[in-house]
Formats: sequence, structure tokens, C-alpha cells
Amino acid sequence: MLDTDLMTYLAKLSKLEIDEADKERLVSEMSAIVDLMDTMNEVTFDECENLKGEGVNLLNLREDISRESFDREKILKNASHKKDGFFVVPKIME
Amino acid sequence: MANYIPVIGLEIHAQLLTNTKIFCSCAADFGGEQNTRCCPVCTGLPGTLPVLNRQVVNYAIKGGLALGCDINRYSKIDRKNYFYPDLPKAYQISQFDLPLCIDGKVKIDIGEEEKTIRIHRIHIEEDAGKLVHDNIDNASLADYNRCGVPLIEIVSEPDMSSAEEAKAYVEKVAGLLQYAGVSLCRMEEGSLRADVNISLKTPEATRLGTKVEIKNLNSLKSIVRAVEYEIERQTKMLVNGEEIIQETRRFNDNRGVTTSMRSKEDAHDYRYFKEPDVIPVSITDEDIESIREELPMLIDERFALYVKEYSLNRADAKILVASKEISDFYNEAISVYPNYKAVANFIVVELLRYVNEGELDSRNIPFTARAFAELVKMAEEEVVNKNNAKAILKIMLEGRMSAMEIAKAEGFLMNDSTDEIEEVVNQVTSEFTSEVEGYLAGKEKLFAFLMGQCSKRLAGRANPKKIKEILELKLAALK
Repeated sequence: MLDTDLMTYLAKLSKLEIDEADKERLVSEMSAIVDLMDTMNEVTFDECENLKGEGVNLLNLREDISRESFDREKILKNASHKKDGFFVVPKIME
Repeated sequence: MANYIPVIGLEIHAQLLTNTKIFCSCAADFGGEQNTRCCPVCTGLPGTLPVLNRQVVNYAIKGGLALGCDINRYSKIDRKNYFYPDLPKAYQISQFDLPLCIDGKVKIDIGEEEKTIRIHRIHIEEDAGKLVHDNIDNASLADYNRCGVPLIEIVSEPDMSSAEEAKAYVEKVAGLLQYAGVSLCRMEEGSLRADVNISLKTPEATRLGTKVEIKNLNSLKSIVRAVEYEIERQTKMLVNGEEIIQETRRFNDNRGVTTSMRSKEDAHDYRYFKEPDVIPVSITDEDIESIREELPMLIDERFALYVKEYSLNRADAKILVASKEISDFYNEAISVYPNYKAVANFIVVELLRYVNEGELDSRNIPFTARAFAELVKMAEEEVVNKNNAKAILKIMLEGRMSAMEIAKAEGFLMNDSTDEIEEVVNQVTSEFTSEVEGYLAGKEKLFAFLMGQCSKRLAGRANPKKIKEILELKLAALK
């Protein structure tokens, strides 16, 4: 179950700063989200046969034609730390 | 020492040969300056919507069919959640319980034995970015060009029991994907990588031992070394009565050892759930059949054809089918000159020598199979002699002249008229009078000497049989 300890751990993993005061509120909000996800996961897809035609047809998927990517400057615009065209992130030990 | 049987399964990640990424229209090919092949979708900015690339699904199905898989008619896309800076969305879009392909099989050769390795499943997913370490600022640098590059993950059943089998399996899977034309499978460029799962069990054990996963092996050599090291490490532990811990390890190429990355206690809970942004795909029987029709004849079928119909020996047939380019080249050459063995032999012994020595790229042969067939035919029909045919091949690699043009320019053509031969025979017999007398007096060995002198002067332009005939006549007349 989600509690403030797990919230602290998740915040650490995702490099977020969370105020102590907000934790309780976030735990309850996030619990509701996780419950919703669990409900979604209860839907099983065993009855695959019945779903055969329910997905999108291959013809309606995106065509494999390349378009210009964004300018690097634009892509890096929102990054707080950047260097030589890279995003700078905390040192990864692995 | 106790006898343990290794139980090995592989997860192979192969990059699909599409123009664009799996969920956006950025270019997907290898290379490019850092962060120049990115857009809001592949860098995971809020409010963007991934749109599945049709070719990714096509290629995954095609690869699956080449590996003998069944195709799920309904396949859904899922989110795999984890935090790591190579993944800006903090989740990878992948497939969990309804992958595109299931239940395949791949045949491998181990010495004279054949073994079937079962494929558990193949799913599509997006690649992550690349991290490089910056020692100056003591930080890591992220390049997201590879984010969203389409991969298939091929999961085998734990059917292998040695490093040799693991290597043969990777080579066969790579070969089949190349034949299908869905992946380049170049390990040195990262378009094929493997994770190895390995455990040991005693022959009488009914349950599998605790498995260890070795992540991200990017060459055949490191697969073999990592498996061998891990078998040895686990054997030693079991012999000493130690317990194997279920964990993820990495292989250190320089030191030749595996080291622990994380144990099961730190294992991720990925909290997979259905990706709400991407609709599942429905695949019809017609889709599958039309994709199947696009597949060329594959490795095992070509091998059987070469051995049974063309009577090639197994070793040569295996070499020819190992690469699709070479096998296609052979097929085209024999369609022009159907001397199956001679063409095979000239490819295996002569042409591939240049490939093996790194002087020729088999994907980029500078002459057509038709031109090559012409050369083999000239050698077989003794238009040029065998040695000169090899010399002609070397010149053909420069890519400018045909075999016939080279033969003419270099004076390699065998002389059909006997005039030149007779002239040379006359010269030799009048120059080497003592040898001729010796021969006539019964020293038959001297015939070879006179023959050699004639051949030398004719420099491969004449058929040795003809030289012999004319020399014999001449000597008989001198008796």
C-alpha cells in the first residue's frame, strides 16, 4: 500500500522535491490513481477471440515517412542543465 | 566435481529497419549528432501523442514468421514504468501480455547435430536514449536520438545448454532477420544486443536452478565469454555449497568477468498497464498472408535445396546460405551458368576469401552475379586457365572491366590455334637439344622439363593438353 515512506522513495527516484506538508495529500491522491490502474488491470484479455476486430487495422497506422526533427536548441530549451548539445543529468553509477 | 547442466535462455533486441521511429516521424537510422533526431513525442514532453508506425508492426510480423512464430490477431501495447535518465518519459512503451508473435522455433546446427530452440514470444518496443559520462563535471550526459527507435525483443525458451549453442542461436536469429529484411542485426552498431538468462541444474533435478540474468551483451564474443564465465562461477558456488542469488549482472569485457548490478530485492516493479495513448492492433489472416508472401526463401530451405537438388556438400552449402547477399548472388549466377558445383566452389574458395580477409564487403560486390558466372564459365570451358581465372577475379574487384575484357588485356586467353604452340615447341626443342637427346635415349623424366619450358613461354595461354599433344608429336618426329 502507498504510504509516506513509499512516496518519499518515489520522489527520490523521480528526482522530485516534495514538501513534508504535501505528502499526506499526495499519498491519498496517488492511491486513488493506483486504485484506478488496478481496476483497469482487472480487465483480462483472455477472450482474445472476441477482440479480434476491436483494434486498429494495419492500414490505419502511421505511414513510415520521416519528417524533420526539431532543432536541437528547441529540444534543449526547457532543460535546466545542458552541455555540448546534451541534457546533463545527475551522474549515473551503473 | 559435480556435473551440472547449464540452462540458458536469451532475450535478443533487434532494431527494425524502418525509416522512422516507432511513435513519431523522426529518422531512426544509426548515427546523427546528439539530440538532433528528437521531437516532443520521443523526448516525452507532456501533451504529445504517440502514433504507431505501420512498418514496425509489418516488420515485427515478418520477423516473427521467419522465426516460425504464430501471430496474435489482437495485440495490445503496454506501459513499462521505470525511472532512469535514458528514458525521458519515465516509462517505456512495450508489450506485456499480448505480444505480436508467440511460439516460434529456430533450428541450429551443433557440429553434426541439429537442435530446435523454441521462441517464447516476440514483442515490439521503443529503445531508450544513450548516456555518456562526463568526468569533468562529474555528471552524465543524455542523448535521446535513440529514444523511440523501434526494437523487437525476441524471448527464447531456456532451451540452450552451452555457450556454443547460444552463439549458434544468435547467429541463426540474426541470419533469419536479415533474410526477412527487417533488421541489419549489426552488433557493432548496436542494432542487435542480447540478455542471457542462465542457471545450473543437476541431471536428476526436475526443477530449474536459480537464474541469473546478464544484461546488454553486444558481441558474439562477449556472449560466449559471459556464458562460459557464468557457468564456471555458478558451478564453483554450488560445489562449495553456496546459494545462487537471483540477480542481474553485467559482463565486463576488459576483465572477462560478470559483476552484480542488482539483486531481486531491488528488482523493479514495472507496474505494467495498458498504454492508454496507443490503441491495440488487429491483424487479419489476409495481413499475415500478404506479409508471408513477401518473405524470400529462408536459410533452412535454401540449404536443403543446395544439398539435395544441386548436390553441393553440406559445408559449402552452409557457407553460401550464411549470408543472404551471397546466397542471392549464387542463385543469380547459377541462373546464368547452371554449373552448380563450379560456381559454388569459386564463390566459397575464391570470392569469399576476399570477404574473409576484409578486402570485400559481401553487401557491396562491384560486379554482377552474371559477370561472375561468365568468369566461372570461362575457367570451366578452359577459355582461360584456372590460375588466370583467379587473377582475373582480383582485377574484377576493381570494378571496371568484365572477365573477358581483362582476359584479352592481360593476354590470358587460351590460344585456340595451334600455331603459337607449335612455334614455341619448335623453339624449345631446338634450344634444349641435349634434353631432347636425353629423352629420346630413354630418360622419360625429361619430358616434364620440356613441357614446363613450353608452358612457361605460353604463360597460361594454351591448354596444357594441347601443348602435350604437340610436344609428343614433335618428339616422335625427331626419333
